[in-house]
Amino acid sequence: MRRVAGVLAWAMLGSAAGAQFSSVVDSPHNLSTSGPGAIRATSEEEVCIFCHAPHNSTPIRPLWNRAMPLEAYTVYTSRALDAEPGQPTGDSKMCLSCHDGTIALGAVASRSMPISMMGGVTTMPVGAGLIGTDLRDDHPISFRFDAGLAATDPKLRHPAQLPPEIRLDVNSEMQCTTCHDAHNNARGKFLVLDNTSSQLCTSCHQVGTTTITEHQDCNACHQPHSAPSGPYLLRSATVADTCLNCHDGAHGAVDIASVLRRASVHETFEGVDQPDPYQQHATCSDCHEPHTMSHGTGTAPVIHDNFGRVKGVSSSGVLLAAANYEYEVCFRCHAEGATVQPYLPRRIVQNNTRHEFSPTAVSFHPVAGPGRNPDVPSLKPGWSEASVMYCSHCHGTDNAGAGMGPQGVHGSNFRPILVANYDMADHTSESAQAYALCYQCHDRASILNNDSFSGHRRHIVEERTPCSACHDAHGISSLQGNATNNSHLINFRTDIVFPEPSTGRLEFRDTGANSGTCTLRCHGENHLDERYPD
Amino acid sequence: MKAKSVLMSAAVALLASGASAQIVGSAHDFSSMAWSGGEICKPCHTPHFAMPGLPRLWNHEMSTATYTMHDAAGTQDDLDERSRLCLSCHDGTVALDSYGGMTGTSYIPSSANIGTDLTNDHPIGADAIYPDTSTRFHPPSSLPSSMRLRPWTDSSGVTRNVVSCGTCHTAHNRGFPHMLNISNSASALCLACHIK
Repeated sequence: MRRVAGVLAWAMLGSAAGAQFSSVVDSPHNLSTSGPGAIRATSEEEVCIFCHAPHNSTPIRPLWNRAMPLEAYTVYTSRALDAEPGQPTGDSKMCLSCHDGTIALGAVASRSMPISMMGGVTTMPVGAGLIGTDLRDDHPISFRFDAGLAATDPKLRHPAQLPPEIRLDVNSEMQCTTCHDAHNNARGKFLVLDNTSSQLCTSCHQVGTTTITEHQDCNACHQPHSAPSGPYLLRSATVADTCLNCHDGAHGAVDIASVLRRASVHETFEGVDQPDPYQQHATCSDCHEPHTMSHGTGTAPVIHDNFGRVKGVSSSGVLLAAANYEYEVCFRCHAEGATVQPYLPRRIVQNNTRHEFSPTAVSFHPVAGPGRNPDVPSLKPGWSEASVMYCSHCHGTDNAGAGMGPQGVHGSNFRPILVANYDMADHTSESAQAYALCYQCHDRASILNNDSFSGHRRHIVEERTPCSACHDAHGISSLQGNATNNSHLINFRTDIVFPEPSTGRLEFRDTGANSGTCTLRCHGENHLDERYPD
Repeated sequence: MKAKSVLMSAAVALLASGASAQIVGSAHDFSSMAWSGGEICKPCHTPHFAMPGLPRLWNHEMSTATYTMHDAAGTQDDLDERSRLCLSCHDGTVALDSYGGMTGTSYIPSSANIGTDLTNDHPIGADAIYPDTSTRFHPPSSLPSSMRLRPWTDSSGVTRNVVSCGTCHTAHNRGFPHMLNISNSASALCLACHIK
């Protein structure tokens, strides 16, 4: 009868503990001579004694038998962190009394002499178990995880939603013991919950619902301890290096690495935790939010599915937590405070692309809204005067899709990250290839047939003047230009086009549909109020 | 019947230990002390004129100390009776040779002196009520026969099983270090109760 009761109790115990129990005796935390790990005592037979003693322990519960380490840690921080980890407290200090490597494993309060360890080991040897006193590369601990923090950081669940296995301490602080159970290694790494599907991580973190399977495994990109990046706990030193661990052409993921080796690239080598936005360089996560992105692109100007939830700046200059349109992502770096200077010298200089593409601008490629020109005869099928386009219609991988790599503004052999060749040198011989970029949308035959500007063929073919000599592809803001002098994207290059000598004037005048005058000097020839059509 | 099985278990334990398992020569053999008069049992037990109200023909003067218990300030009432017997020497407030009506002068050496501050000692008595079912402790029925829980009665008269000094230790030596009831190799004694 008594035995039956015992069996019943055991059965209840098993179900209550989730049936995943393994004794500390069978774990690497058994430092006694019977321990299964490499680090163990030369002759000490007791297992518990390394941490607990029934008599002459320290007064710290639970019968703690080790000295507590000094509070001299460098704690985790990042610009994105809302939690406020202080010096380690509570149970975490107990763990660190071995794992920070400052106190000998065999030094226990109940013994006058340290317990002798095999191989002469004293403090924690270098290896996975050595956390050290620099905690900047380890998951933060000893911070209050309360409703207030969850309200501040929407990427954290409310602590009341934590599964029962994941426990905060009596002060509502997250500790080592929130993820680890020092006594039970049934799941490996002494985890309190199986993490093969990142369940442990996502018990607290709700970072997004990406549909990209590979992005659903936290451990693919992050590691909770001794992370090479420090902040953000990435598996490599930088965001880009972490992404390229898979996106390198060798692991089945889209090959970005080869594109980033081309002549003109978004430079992504910057370290983590730069000021936001960091306009000198882009990193992958400025345009792609790996936790919320999915496969697929969008329809202009709507942001692509494979961007995910990334920050942006609206056409009117408002900082957005989540960009709605592709150009809003670009505006984060290429609008206010942009450090990228215009590629070509022009009469009107503007490096704020938000002004160039503003729907109130004088003339613009239709990125943030349909363009101003009601009659563009060169447009190819699929395009109309009412169309809008992406920045990435012009900027992105050269020859994307044709075995040359994925779409996207990663890198190109054509500067500045152009999807097709765009010769900008003066005296370029016109060809389909020379202005392939423009001819993607503007029909070459129509242009050379002078359907719009009656002098196109003479300028481009006979005089070998590049498109860029007269046209400023982005646009001319209303802050600087006007509808008379700057319609049709007219903003002369100052290295090709010069003032007319007798008047000192350098200007185009729009005089109505497909008509205007020019006063300037170009290729040694002076135009003085020269009119078109002739 | 029950007593017989306990005896048999003890006999098996003795055989298994292979060590000298008798009080003679143990840490509790005071017969070499001048004050003992060469007697072994007498500091604790007497066949006649034992102290009233105490079990085991008790002969040693009891402590009246108040303790800082593991969980809180406490009194003698927080201890189970058997633990009180042990602490009559081991709290260091009563001399070893205070027994049989004598007032002694020879106190317990520091290595065995628990003191009256029990915060750095395993909880006993009121602080160590042993649960019948728990995910953290093995059921009482699975404890080795030599590791016995003891009754403790709270102020409302409810009696519970608690951990006592004698749950881990024997006063009479079973051949294991620290007068333990079973070998603690691989922390077997700790893990007899604790599910770790």
